[in-house]
Amino acid sequence: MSDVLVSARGLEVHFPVRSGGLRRGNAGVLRAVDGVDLDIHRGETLGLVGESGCGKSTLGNALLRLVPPTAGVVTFDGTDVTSLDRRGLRTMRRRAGMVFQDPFASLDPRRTVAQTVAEPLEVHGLHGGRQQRAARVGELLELVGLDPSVAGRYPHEFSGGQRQRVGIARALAGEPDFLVCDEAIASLDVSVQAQVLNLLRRLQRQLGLTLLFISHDLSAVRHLSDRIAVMYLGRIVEIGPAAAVGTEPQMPYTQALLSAVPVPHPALERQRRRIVLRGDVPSPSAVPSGCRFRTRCPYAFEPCPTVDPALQPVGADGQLAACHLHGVVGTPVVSETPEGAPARPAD
Amino acid sequence: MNVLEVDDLRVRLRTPRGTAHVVNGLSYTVGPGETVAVVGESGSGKSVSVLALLGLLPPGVATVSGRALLQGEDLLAMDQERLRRVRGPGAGMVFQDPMTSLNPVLTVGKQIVEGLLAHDDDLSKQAARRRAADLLAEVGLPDPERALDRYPHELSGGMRQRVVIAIALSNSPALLIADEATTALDVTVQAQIIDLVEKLQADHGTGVIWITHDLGVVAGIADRVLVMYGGRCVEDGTVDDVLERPTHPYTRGLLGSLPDLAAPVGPDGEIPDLMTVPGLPPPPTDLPAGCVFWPRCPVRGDARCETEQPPLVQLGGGGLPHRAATWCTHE
Repeated sequence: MSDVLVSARGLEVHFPVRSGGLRRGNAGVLRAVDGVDLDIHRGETLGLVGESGCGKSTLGNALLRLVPPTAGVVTFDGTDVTSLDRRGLRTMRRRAGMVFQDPFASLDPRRTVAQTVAEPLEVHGLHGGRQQRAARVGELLELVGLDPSVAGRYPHEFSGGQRQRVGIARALAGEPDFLVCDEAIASLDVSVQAQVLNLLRRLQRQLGLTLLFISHDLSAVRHLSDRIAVMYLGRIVEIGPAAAVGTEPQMPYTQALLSAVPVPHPALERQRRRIVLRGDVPSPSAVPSGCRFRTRCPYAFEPCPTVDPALQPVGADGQLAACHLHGVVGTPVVSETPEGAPARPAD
Repeated sequence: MNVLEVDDLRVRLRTPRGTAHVVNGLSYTVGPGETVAVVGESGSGKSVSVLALLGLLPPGVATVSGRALLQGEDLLAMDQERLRRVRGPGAGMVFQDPMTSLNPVLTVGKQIVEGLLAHDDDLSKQAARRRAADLLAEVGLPDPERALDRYPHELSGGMRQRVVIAIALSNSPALLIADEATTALDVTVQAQIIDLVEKLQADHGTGVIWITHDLGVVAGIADRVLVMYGGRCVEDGTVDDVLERPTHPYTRGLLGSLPDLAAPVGPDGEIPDLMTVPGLPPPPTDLPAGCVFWPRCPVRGDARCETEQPPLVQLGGGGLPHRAATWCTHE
């Protein structure tokens, strides 16, 4: 059995952009995911971070084939997901669950908790018989920290955090190996976020789940993940062990992103030098040539506009970054530190 | 003189489920150039408390009492006309979602000029337009002249929020109220906006009320912090005191439940589990009789918790004001 559960090679999801109005026509291509190579190892939690529009949700969806990739291959436990027929897809999706952002929109308001959680069991023909199913629903609710007696209630009777627990129970119903959590805590209050984060960590350990935790919240990702992948404009620009990426990022974008995350310590905040990036993220339908981060990068130099950097080993063991500053492995090209920008951390 | 002095602010809202006691006796001050952060979770009353100050709550539904002196004049005693006059030059407001606080069918320029002309009868249209362009330049919009003729949907989220800030600052208010102003933005854009507000504040000496649930943001920008729970202030003090030496069990819970980028890794190489506050905040229609946090409090035990409301009292041996409303100040 391979150590890799989910893998993507050269994955692309491009959407045609149509101009609006009466005369419709193709106005270009939106490169939501634009060449991603990724291995997710069995039993690990991989955090996927990036800002809005970077393609992180589309990548998560493409791994489960909830959106069809336009190029590249996704394999799930050795099987090519991109070429599966309906039946194969159904089997695959039993083994892969998804928890969505908005627990208000992702639960059917007219179904009871029991009906919602039991649906995957019916679809996949698991735990046949009403009593067995009811028992399984009770088990699942207990697993996510809800009282089984709430099974007959409707979503509106629950708070946001409780609804998210129902969503997690539903995702776990098919006993998946792989769970994708797409901004699963983003709409929750701080104290409730903590409850759900703790729950996810407990479940991951208890059930040996492989978890893809997609979030814009770097602190939460750092808290939960074994490894962190950073996405920018449809591409993974840095990936590595959470501690390494979280404390010694090697890609200028990751450095800026981390420096912008406020930490709740006033003394530390006063000392920290925030790297404030210029401008906005370019549109994914007009990706810059060469390195896609170069238009905002404080270190951009000669090769950046022409050569698209590949992910290559940098810094700590298992850490990869796509940046020309790392010309040869372990020996970064020395560049002049631009005015006002902090020195790059030593490798 | 303080820019704002709020004294015993109370807001009740009529709801189908009965009277909601949303703000219950809030008192605080904001000095010139000072940033006061109001923190709390959804339903803690933080937004309503500032909407009430500016008379932005529906009059048939809300009952507001107390006193709120903006540069010496009581906002709560003003008639609508006076209040409208005061809102621009006295207090500017920046809301969470820049898309909904801008008018989608008016150009950015029109919306800024509108605010300028409303508060200055002598200003010509041309002069107002020039001033609008200056404002956009000041908040860092590239090519401000052209930006004046753009519609909100043509701008990114960060740029839109800059426009909202330009409008809020257009009459050089003494007080700027930012209600979750960076919550909808990405962290790198949030950093840009925070930098901008800090710079403008330093230039103009504006007092700022920054409402947020993000304690990280608070650590970076606030001079003083006020923690709200159940419509009450449960703890306030300097940002260092409240965040580094939190005393109220709720403040402690809130800080403990925050995943922290700077969190130390445990001996097993793992980050320990987060602390959580069990349960949910009480509905404002049905607040507990004693301490408002009592039903969720992990250290409750004092006989008074259930029956008697703890007053907001100064902690420790003097120094800078640091107050908490709890019966459990003992370690």
